[in-house]
Amino acid sequence: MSVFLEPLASYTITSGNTGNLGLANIPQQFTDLMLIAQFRCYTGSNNVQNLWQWFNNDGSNLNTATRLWGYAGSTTANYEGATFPSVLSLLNGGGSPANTFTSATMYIPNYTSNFAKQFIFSSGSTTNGTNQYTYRVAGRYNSTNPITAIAWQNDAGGFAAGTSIDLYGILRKGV
Amino acid sequence: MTTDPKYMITEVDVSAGTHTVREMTQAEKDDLDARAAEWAKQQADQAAADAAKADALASAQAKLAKLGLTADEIAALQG
Repeated sequence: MSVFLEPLASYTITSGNTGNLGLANIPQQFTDLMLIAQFRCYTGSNNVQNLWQWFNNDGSNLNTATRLWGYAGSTTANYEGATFPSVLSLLNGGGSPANTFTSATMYIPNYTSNFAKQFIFSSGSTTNGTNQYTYRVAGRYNSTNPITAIAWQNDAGGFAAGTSIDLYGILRKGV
Repeated sequence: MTTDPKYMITEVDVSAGTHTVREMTQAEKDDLDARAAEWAKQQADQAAADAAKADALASAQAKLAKLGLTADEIAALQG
């Protein structure tokens, strides 16, 4: 039986404020990657903080992204172009209700390609109430290097206990 | 001296199935600071552009009002 979806890594932060979070040495034998995560900042007085992401510890600003986002307290949809290269979305800050997180999923097709890579990211807060955001990001990592590492950071300088990341490798039929 | 948490990373080695908490390298710290600086600049530039646009709009509305246009007529012009 062929393996088409394989869990590659699962990690949950048990003690908060251990800084940024990253995946390294990602195996290269799959066609696509899928991430399921929940994030919460360790601190920060705001209900929400920026979530940053970068690939391959790449210092160059090689990401471009188009973001659609909404705010639970408003009916207005918002659009932003490619001027926010590393900031993905807003996520629950230390000031948000206890034990609430921002759930996120990301799909990266052809992550071993020698061409630019696409990623699709979506997130939404699990908090009941109005001060919450939802995001949909169409992104592009403009590098010829295969993706071997992904890292996340937030403005508040650390993630809270309960923050978790689960990475899956996908082997598409016919590729 | 305790390292600022923003310069620490919990890194999961996917192939090995292990994780480590380490201080970021100087190059990684520099990259992180550069990204933050660029973000701050973008935010400041956007705020300045928004303010300039709001000022121009207010100025245009004042001039139209001096010509005798009503608020409804000015709003209609703005589409």
